[in-house]
Amino acid sequence: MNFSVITDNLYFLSTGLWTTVHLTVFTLIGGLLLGTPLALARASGHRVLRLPALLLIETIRGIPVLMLIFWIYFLLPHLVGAVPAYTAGLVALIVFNTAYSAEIVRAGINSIDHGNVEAGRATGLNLVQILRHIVLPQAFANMTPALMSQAVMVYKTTSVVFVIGIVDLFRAATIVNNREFKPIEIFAFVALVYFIPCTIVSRYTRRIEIKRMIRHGTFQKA
Amino acid sequence: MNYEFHWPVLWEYRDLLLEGFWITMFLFVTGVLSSLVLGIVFGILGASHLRWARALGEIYVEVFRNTPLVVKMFFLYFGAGFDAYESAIIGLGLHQSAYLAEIFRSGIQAIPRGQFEAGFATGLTRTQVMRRIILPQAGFIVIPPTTTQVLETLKNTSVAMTISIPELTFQTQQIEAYSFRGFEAATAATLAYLAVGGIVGAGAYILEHRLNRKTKSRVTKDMTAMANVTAAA
Repeated sequence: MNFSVITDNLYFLSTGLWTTVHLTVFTLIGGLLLGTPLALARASGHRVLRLPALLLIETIRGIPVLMLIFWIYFLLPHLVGAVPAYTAGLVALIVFNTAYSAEIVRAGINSIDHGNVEAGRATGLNLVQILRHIVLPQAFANMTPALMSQAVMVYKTTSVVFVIGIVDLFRAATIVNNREFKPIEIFAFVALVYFIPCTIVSRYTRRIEIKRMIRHGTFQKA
Repeated sequence: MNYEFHWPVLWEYRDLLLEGFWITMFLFVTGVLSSLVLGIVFGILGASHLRWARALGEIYVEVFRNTPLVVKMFFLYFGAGFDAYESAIIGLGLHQSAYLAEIFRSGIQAIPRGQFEAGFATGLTRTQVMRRIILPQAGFIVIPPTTTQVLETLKNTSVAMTISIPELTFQTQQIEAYSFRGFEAATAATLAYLAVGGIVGAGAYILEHRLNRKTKSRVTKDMTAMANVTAAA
């Protein structure tokens, strides 16, 4: 065991980590922005909106994220011309996250009692106002734990975009490994860099969930 | 978009696609079996009344759930000296079992404590209570989340391509490299994943509803029996 390979390449690894971090952040924001209208379409009463949304969500959720990355990587050049690998990878991750976020948002909307909508109607608000001022704020509060789990998932999933050549944390680690051949030290270190933030967030998520269960009186001590 | 599809390419490369499909199925089945075994063991540990067992279960879940699958596979393949298939199966098993252990733990803990106490009161041992009362009920309620994880396992087999296992996703890349027919190959692979996933999902649905009918009748019978016991006492 010789961990100097980590300290010697720390700068290079940290540039990879930075790529992983902004991929994660953009993917989360993009997924939520596109996932919310998709969830509304999926929960809509109109078949014209509901069925395509359902088909899109289920297809994306039904195939491996690697498959999706290759799809976008092949598809984008035909649609908009040559794009850098980073763009293709980011678009693929956003598409992937949009489908999962849409299901979370839909569950959040379904968790809101329909009486809220009726009360909104009764006070003369229109559908958009009801969504914006009554349903979505409550839904997002209920969704916080699920969205945080999804954030952990996205952070880990970014590690597969290296297949199209994006130098994220994991790709940086494999590059260092190819040069120095210290796989145990390097991959153990990388595992740790993924593990620490994921564990902190997932523990925190569990705490919020338990607090909520106590508030709703559905918590039973193990 | 002006792309001319050329579907006969799929027939031309049918051997690659079929080989990839069977390797994916092999990884899927072995991955599901190993993760179920590990998941049940660590799920029961995590729900234990013993502090050390709970800690062990919890550490297992956190370690293997909070690291990416591809990192585990690379560690096993390049670091620990396993061959590609061993690394893929062990990696998949460790990764998915952490999610399953968490599901099984919460499934066991979802059964009201009164059932344990009732079991002890009728003179059953801890193992008997677990085997005859808790696990059958917990097993039933975990079917839907377990199905989700089984489907995750199917999708995650594709990560094995990164350590050069020629499974389905890898073969679509091969076909792209040989013929620039990535679209056609990716379409075929996508349909294959969706078909297998659909069959697994439908199977789980049928299983759940069958068991539901059976358990319902059994539970009602048990309830009546229990009511009689209480009345007699």
